[in-house]
Amino acid sequence: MQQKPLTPGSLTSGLLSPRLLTPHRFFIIAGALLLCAVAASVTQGSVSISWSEHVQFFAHFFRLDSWLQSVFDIAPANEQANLILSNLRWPRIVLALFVGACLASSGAALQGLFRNPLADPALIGISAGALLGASVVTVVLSVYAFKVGHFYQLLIIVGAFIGALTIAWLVFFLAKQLSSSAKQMILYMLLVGIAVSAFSAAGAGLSKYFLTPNELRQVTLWQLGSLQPLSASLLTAVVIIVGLVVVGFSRLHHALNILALGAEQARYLGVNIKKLQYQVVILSALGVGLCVAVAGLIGFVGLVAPHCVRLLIGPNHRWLIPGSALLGAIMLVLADFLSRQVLTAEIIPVGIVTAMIGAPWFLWVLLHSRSK
Amino acid sequence: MSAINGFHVQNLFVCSRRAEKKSPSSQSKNSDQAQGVRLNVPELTLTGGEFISVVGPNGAGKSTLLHCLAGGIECSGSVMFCGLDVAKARHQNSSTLVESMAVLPQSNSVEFNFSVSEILAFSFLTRALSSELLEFIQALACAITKVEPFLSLPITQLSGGEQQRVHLARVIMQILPALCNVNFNAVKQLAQTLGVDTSSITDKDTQLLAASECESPCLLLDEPCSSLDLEFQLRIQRYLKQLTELGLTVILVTHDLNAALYYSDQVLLMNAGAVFAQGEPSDVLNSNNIQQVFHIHAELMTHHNRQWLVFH
Repeated sequence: MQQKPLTPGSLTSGLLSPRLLTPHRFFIIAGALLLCAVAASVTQGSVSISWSEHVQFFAHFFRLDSWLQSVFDIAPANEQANLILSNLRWPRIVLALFVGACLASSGAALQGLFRNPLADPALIGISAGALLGASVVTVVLSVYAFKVGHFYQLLIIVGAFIGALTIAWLVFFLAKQLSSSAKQMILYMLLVGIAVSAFSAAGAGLSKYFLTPNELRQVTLWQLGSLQPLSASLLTAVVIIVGLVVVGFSRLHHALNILALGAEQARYLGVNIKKLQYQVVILSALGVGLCVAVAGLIGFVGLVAPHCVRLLIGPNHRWLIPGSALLGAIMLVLADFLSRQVLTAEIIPVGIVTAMIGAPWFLWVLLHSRSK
Repeated sequence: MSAINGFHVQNLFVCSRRAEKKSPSSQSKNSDQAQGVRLNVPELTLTGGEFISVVGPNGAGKSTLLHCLAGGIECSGSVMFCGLDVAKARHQNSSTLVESMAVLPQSNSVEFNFSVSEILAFSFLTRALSSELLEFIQALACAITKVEPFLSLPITQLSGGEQQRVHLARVIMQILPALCNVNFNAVKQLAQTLGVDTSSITDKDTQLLAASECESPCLLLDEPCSSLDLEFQLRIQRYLKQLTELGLTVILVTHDLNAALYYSDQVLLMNAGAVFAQGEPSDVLNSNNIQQVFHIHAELMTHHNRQWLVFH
């Protein structure tokens, strides 16, 4: 029987088991889908914007309008369309892209770490910790009525960050105290995570009673998950940090793959499990803390995207992590697009859309994959 | 083979977790276990290059001993292997230890639907070997365990025994580069008798095998044959025996006393967390010892020039 040569490289290339798509084909299709989603999202909305206005916007953005005007005789950009695109639509879409990528790749890495396809950033308390941190900062700012202006959003992000890291550290510390082996540690992290998340969620709920009605509405909308426009510098920070987090997860693919054999077996194959746990938890606290701070709680992306990618191209983390990031980005851009289409006067929080579409879709995927 | 290449154990002691917490509920039939001792081995030397069977009743500490030898659990005392302090080397993730010692725990399950060839490739995490050599090593491990037909299948589609054969192939692949390093020509000969094509291997490929300090790599197996059918029980043990003749140390936890008697160079009989007897198979597995440890009346007989244990 002629077999393919097996090298560390062949682990990463070629289709070795009957799966729906090869990784390469998946990335081409998903990339095309992403472009379509972004194109639909950027042109449609409460005001629809034509393609020529887009060309003018980009020309203006890259300071090429006078050159274009002289060469192609294209009129200078329309002020209103420019404002909508640069201040509202593009920041929203970029935010959706990166928040979706971050949540989905964190989900994929955490599922690998816990050897459990149900793991999710929410499960070990990271999301709830970020929510609690952000809520506490909101209350403190509200009660003492600080006039902080521009720093308001930044302070909330820092609060969410600290909350996520504190809860992640607490879960780690308690799980370490309770467990005697690496195998038990993972189980205890899940159990402690559930308890700590319930506590944090209650704390975040309690904090609402200290707010004025106007702030309450804002906080409620944010908690449901909403992609409010951010300032350009904050958006750049989100893009850079999420990029680093996704690259960081991708670099752990070998260790995450081997961990599928079990903690004991992976250790005997030379994987440093403790280090891997620290790396995955700290990276996801960083990424998810940031995502919760800027966009609130957006459920289901971290759970569904890795699951679908695994069904399509298999569980190899080398492809699973970037693939999940890509699919997560597509899902959140589409969800945001829908959230702006349903009601003309209002934007529905995107977290509601992801949950309302994500849950039935996830069930359909489960039923469909079982019948095969 | 000198004793330096095997294991040298001193003052090995493992408490059960129940005893550490001084829980009142730790009642056991066995007096030693009631005091919370899972393993107590004052001194033990296991020679390199031998086939060593570890036998004993359930809960005697066989698996605990194996994990202590592999540095997988915390224990007091010291385990030296190839001049390495195993616990320390495992803690530092020493690649020498990973390359010269492969361990197969008792239960193996794979989360997620990896294909068999992906799982086999996990054994090469720390290696930088030529693809011809890796291909040769995979072909040899697959020929011993007969897993070639499954290579492209997802592991979850295989039966329990077939999965166990895949895991055996995985640990054999993990240890083979080190064994090739010790005696490449003999490994090549073994491969040829199994019908593995060795023509693609050149001297250049073998130069990539890093010279390791360890002259006797070790395979630690915890009841690897318990879920295999008769054909594979015999086949695996026969080839493990052949590999020990090439310099591999095999330490095998088993319940098959007749196989231990036939294949082993040395038998370690354990009872209640301690080594009850150690030595030549026919000396250790006598009817007196078996009566004391297993409470079974056994008789050692000779049939077709081979010794057999018959149980009554």
